[in-house]
Amino acid sequence: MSRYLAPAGLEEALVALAGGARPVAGGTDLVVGVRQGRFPIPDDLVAIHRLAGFRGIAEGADGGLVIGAGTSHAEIVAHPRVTRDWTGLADASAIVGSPATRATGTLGGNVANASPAADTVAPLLCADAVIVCRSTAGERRLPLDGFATAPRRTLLRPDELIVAVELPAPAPGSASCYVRLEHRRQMEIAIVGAGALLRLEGGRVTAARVAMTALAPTVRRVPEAERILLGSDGGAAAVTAAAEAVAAAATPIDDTRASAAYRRAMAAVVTRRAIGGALARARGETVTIPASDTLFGAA
Amino acid sequence: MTAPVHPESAVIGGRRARPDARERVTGSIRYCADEAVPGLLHARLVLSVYAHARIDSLETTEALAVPGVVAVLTAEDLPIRGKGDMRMFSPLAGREAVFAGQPIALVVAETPEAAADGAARVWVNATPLAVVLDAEAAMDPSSPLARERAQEHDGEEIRSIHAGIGGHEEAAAPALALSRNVVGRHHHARGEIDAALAASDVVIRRRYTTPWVYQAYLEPHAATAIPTADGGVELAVAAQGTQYARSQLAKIFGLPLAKVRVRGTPLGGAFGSKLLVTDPLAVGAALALGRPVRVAMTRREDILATNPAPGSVLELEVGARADGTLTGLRARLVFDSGAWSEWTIESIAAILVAGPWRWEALDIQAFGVETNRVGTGSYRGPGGPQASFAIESALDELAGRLGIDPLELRRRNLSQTGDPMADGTPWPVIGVSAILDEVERHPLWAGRATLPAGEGVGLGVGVWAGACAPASVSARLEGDGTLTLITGVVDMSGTTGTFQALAAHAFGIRPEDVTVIVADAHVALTSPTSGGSVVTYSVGRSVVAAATEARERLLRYASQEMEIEPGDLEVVDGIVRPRGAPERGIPVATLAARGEGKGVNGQPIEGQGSTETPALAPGSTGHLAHVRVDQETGEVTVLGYVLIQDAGKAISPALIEGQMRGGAVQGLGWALWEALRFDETGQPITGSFMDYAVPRASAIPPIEARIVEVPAPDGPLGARGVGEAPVCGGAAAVANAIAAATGARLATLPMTAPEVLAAISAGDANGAA
Ligand SMILES: Cc1cc2nc3c(=O)[nH]c(=O)nc-3n(C[C@H](O)[C@H](O)[C@H](O)COP(=O)(O)OP(=O)(O)OC[C@H]3O[C@@H](n4cnc5c(N)ncnc54)[C@H](O)[C@@H]3O)c2cc1C
Repeated sequence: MSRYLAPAGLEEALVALAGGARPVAGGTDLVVGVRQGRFPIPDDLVAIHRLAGFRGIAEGADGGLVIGAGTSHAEIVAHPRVTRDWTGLADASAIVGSPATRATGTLGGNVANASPAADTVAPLLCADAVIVCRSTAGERRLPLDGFATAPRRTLLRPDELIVAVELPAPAPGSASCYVRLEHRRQMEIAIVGAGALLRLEGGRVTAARVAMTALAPTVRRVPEAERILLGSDGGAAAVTAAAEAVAAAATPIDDTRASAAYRRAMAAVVTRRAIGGALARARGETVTIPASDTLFGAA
Repeated sequence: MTAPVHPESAVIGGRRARPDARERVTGSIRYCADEAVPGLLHARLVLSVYAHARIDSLETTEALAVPGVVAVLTAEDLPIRGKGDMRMFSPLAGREAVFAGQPIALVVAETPEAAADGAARVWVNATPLAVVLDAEAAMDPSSPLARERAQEHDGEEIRSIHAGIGGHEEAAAPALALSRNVVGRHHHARGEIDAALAASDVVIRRRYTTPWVYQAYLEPHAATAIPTADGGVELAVAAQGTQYARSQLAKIFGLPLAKVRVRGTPLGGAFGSKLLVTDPLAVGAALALGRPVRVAMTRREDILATNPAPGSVLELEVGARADGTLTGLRARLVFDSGAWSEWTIESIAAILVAGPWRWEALDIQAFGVETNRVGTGSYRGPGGPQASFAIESALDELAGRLGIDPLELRRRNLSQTGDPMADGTPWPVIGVSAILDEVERHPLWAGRATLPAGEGVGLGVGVWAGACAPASVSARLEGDGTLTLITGVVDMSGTTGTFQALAAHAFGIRPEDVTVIVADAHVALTSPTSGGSVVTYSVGRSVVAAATEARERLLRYASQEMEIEPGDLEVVDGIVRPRGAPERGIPVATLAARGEGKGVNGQPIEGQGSTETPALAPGSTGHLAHVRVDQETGEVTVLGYVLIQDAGKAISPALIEGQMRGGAVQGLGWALWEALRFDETGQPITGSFMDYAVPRASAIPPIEARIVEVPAPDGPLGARGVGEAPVCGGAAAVANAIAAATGARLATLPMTAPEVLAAISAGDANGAA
């Protein structure tokens, strides 16, 4: 029989974690994982979704954003700064699961779970996100790049909680986009996905981030693709070459949903679409959120 | 939304929700597994991890040590007395496990949790045997056998369920050396097939394949068995046919029928699956332990261990002359029966594969082949989705090669009443011509040439031969003027609402004033299993007859009270009145109260309708799918869908449209997403809804449902069964739409994005023979 603790304050939760308890936020990964028999239900659970100050989005002094780890995907999509300046993140949170999943699942859970298919991670990598972790021993701030070390493994220590995700202010002229491929338009694990952030200055790309989803053991950036874009005019040749670089860097799996060969081919397609979406937004054109085709299930 | 066929107020053709709609939508309905039973034990299944193995021994000590576990039951512990080569006679594997997921033991405990903990602690010692997975290879005399059979096959039980479908005159089968895995063989031949194909201007040869498909109903299988003091059993079960369950359980357990009582619980969907899967497990355990036992499957058990639709291979050769006249159809069908072949689906497919089309010559061979996969079941329209996918795709391709409009090709070759079906049975009146008229008029079809690049519209026609059965129903006037109908027919699809309308119409009262009681199997008069589109068509006739007899008794009584000849009276809107003098009418309720439901000399105002097996009344559909194909990813987006169906007479249009929309969505599942997949050792790798991809609402466009009415001569008011035809023809419509959009012809279901992309890249090579 497992024990379930629902503390009101962060300190109490951290003490419980130090004592070996496992955190549960929305439970949309944890409960499903237990049900599927991927792991046993932890002996001690500490519920963190109601912790004071854990949920919500605050604007940082430097024009950046601090998103509480307990913020739901639905709250992220509804936030005007996110949809304006971190559009790629909005693209991702808008397609997580169903309305129920988005109302319950949290950003912290998505990051901590470290699934190779987690949708928010690629746009967060593009945004140079920093993960704020707390334990009874104090606070650590870790760059998201490198935070996930393997499928479902991160640098987080067992007694640590992610309390927030910090996003630095976006550079002027930059824009982002996230595109996922999945065949039923909703409630499906990404077959492949790609995030891109581009800064355009005088017709030149002066900053580039490209990250890929479900194409490697962890969601990760693809520096080869970023280098191709950097300094280019963002034209078709550069975009295609960057997309090919992502396909070349990918190490996709083969499963019932799709073969590795199909995933690799699609890596180039979604990357091209994500870069295209980011460029269009950087030029001030409207690309609806989410950028992926959701058909009748639009958020 | 389409305009209703009939005005809102009409009893026949009025739009009313099914009587249990609110309970179902709000989730307050109580399914079998929700019922509280004092002293109930819960069972969990131990499933085989091997697709084929000899079971050497079971270690149960650890399981029995789990607090709350009462027993671990194996095949030997169930008091089965009957013999039959159907799975229901061997609900637990004995010495041989024949598919991965086959139940080997039941762990019975005081709580579901203890049962689950126990089931995880039963260890099975088994020796793997050769696994047979490729149905075509398994036909070879040198193939290993999927199953050691105790006795020869006996498909009789099933023919009674799909009575009237198939099995007429079969041609002599050519001599072939076949293994004993081949358990079903059917051959229909007419004319000179070689000559007909040789004389054709165009011949299409294709090999179509369809995967195993799961019914994916909301409620998993469940049954609760309670032993009775007389040594018998009472069963509450989610079942399509309680009388069928009762007679089979009596045979299985060697019990007199009087000691077997079966009550149907509200069905949370069934689609042909809920036929004696959990029943023998629950009854066997209850009889063995002398306590109430419930077997309620988890979703995983339900996916792995029940009875989905079989995988199939359909090789077709179809020819036509340049003027569009169809010449010959040669077909070779191989249906994977899985470990049990009790449903002989290939026999139905062998007839449906000819479609409603006229062939100068045909030669159809069908084989049912056992393999080490879960036993096959009668998924909605068994054989129909597979057969219609093949033939309707082939016709579309033929039309393209001939340069003839696909609708026109179908019109020119449509069978007329009396023309022979594949098995020689004359076609009864069917509605395909009226459906094709509707297709032609529909703007989606008319405008299909003006679509943007990458979009296409496809047509597919579906036919279900129909099913028919004898049935009896009783009707009783209550003291408050309402009418009570008693039947043993389980309401699988809202048929209660249709019975209300038919009885109300025949009696002269409002549908709300008719109560339908679904009585327990041992109480009800003869009632068929719900399936094969049998209920409205066959049982509806008895409802009308029962209500009519009760009405005659009411009129005799009213005649005495009003001193007017019965022939001069009518019943309108619940009022008995003299023809031509409505103001002198007396409400039915008043008459009923006066006599407390009794009539002349105290004769009860009741009726019984007993009808014999009617003639076949096929149902038919026309599907129009409008798709957009992403040429870079292969993703198919269904932008629009039109389903036209011949209902004979639309008694309850809202319920018919529900069947149509549901069937269209299931058809889209067949077309684009659904497949039970197995690895090379026979392990199912789609054991949850994560991997088994049912359609999501978000990927389904609004479905336009249009009803046409071509009356069935024997149907109640001309009505036909409508349950199966909506799932026949849809996959072909999507395949034909993809071909229209891209030029690529998909011959393998489901047409997933990777398959579509491969077909586009290969030019038109995919699937070509
Ligand atoms: C039907 C369904 C559809 C889904 N669709 C998608 C999808 O489209 N895209 C996608 O990316 N995901 C999807 N998911 C997965 C899941 O919903 C998301 O990953 C979600 O963001 C997880 O958040 P949660 O709060 O529910 O996590 P939980 O389940 O509560 O936690 C997940 C893991 O992270 C740990 N954890 C949670 N919060 C913290 C924290 N603050 N600090 C440290 N550790 C923490 C938990 O201990 C656990 O190990 C889906 C899930 C379901 C059930």
